[in-house]
Amino acid sequence: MMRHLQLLTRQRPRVIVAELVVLAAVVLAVIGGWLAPYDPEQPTIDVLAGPSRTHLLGTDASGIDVLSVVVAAFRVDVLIAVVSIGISLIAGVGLGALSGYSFNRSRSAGMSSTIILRALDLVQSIPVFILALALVGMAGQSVRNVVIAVAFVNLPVFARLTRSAIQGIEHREFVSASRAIGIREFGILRSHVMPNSLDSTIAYASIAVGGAILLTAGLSFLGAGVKPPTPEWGAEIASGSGYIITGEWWISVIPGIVLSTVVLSFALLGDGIRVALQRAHRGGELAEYEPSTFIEESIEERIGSA
Amino acid sequence: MAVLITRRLILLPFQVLGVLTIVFVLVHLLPGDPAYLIAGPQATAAQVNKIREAIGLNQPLPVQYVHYVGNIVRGDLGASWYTGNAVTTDIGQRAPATLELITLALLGIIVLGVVIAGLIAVNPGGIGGRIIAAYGFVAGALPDFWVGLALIFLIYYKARLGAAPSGQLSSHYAIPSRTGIATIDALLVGDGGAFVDAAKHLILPVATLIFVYMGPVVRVTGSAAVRSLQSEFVEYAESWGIAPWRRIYYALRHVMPVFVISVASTYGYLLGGAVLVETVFSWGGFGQYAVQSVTHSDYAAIEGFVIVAGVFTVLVYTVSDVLQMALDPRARR
Repeated sequence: MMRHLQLLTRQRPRVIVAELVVLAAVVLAVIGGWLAPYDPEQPTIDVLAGPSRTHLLGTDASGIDVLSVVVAAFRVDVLIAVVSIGISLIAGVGLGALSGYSFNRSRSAGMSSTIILRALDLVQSIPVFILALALVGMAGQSVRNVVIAVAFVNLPVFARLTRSAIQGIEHREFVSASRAIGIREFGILRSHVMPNSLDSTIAYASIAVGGAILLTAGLSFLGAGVKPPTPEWGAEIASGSGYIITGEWWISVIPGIVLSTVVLSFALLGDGIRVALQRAHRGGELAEYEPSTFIEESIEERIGSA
Repeated sequence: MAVLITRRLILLPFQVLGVLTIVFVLVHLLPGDPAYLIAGPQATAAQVNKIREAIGLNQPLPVQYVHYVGNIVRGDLGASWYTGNAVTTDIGQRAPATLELITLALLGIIVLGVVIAGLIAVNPGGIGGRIIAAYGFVAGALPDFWVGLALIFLIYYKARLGAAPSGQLSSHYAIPSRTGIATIDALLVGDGGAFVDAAKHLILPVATLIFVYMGPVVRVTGSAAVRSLQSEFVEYAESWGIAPWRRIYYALRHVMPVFVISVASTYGYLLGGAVLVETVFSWGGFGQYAVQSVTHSDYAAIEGFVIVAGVFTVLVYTVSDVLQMALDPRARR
């Protein structure tokens, strides 16, 4: 554990910056509300005021301080994203293990494996944002259902990553050696196969948190996610969208800059984690920086499986 | 190869059935009574019961499934309580405008993407290649709706260029809607002014989609091109003294399958992105219909737009797979 943390600090400067941003985002998710100069849900008398000394980032149409909303929204956006990716990671790794690990049976016995794989294919054939929107629409609009929808649409990629990683190592000697000394299949899976196949899944989880923030903000922008007055970046961008054509840019532009910075940082952190894990497990020579984002990863994944 | 393509096409109906099955399963896994939602908030208990009877919610699930698939195969997606129309009619009216938007964006991505990915491939370590790689990475982290708003602010408000972000056509042009695509409708009645106006309305939303969704395509294709140009078969060709342009041709042929898959995936992402970008630009297409159906809990319409989007991407992937077989001998196995 300590060694992993050490590896995270020996990184390129841009990854270090990203790590600091993610750290700040997590801290703000915990204490953000207290740092807000004004109540992010209470209007002030200054309506549509530009950035000034009293309101550093201006106010929106109902007189709410934009800086306070942006700071308080860390809790909502980062928490929703982290929780839903957490759920997705656990469920996806489970499904991936079930469908990828042979349990010492012959391959033809893998009916359930094929069914899981085909079902994942079908879920992935519906565009992510449209599926998430529909799930929230059918289940009813609430924060809980946003979390469920975001977790669900992310599940297939986690399952596929885990599955292909397991299939890559389950024919190695240490697996058959464990079998030979009589360890039960679930024991082998838990203690020997899983720890060696989670590297890319964990690195991807960080990138997916960024993607989940984009999804949550997108749903809230449409009014189908987190609702005002709860402070949320996408909803705040929406509240300023009508004032863009009259020049009150700060309401929409600033939350978007903050959101994008956080999303980018989670993507860079994912790259850093991948490099750190590769150094820890396989020596340094394989580790190359190649940051990517949510959509890029899923396109790469499609190319890989074609 | 004809046999392979036929075999791939035979798969298509099963994939469509798969999408329908997934939607059916999701509808029944999620909590809530669809009959209430289909009937809408103003419905009486008797109306809800009638709908429950009509869509067969009292029947066993397999029977419901057969009815559900049967209705969709006959082109019946139910009726929207909000618009009062059949969902197929609603979507049929709105889909062309969205298709115009995302197809123009896709064409832009194909043309610009080839050029830009080529620039990366020529000199990956150079300043140009690095800037493009950075753009591709950052673009993948930007919310499309925010980019749309930023473009409205910079181009429309500051630079006073382009058209107001309010629909496909300025309101003083009255042209009959025949295709649902404003530019084509204008051409059909021969109204040049309306055509120019409609084209102007297209610029900002299309630019938004291109800016955001070209990023991943350029990065994926660019790095594939770099790998291909440095691969052993190209070195081998070089050692045989084969002319540089011919080596580049070999290398790029190798990249084509990657390009096709990333463009095909992007078409799906563009459809998702259109939901948000249409809202920003009040486009009034399929995407805004989806939003409207969710905000009004219009159940039949929600089910309808998911199915249509799923079938759309399945079709796109089928075309992509067929192209793949034509381009890549390895895909013909």
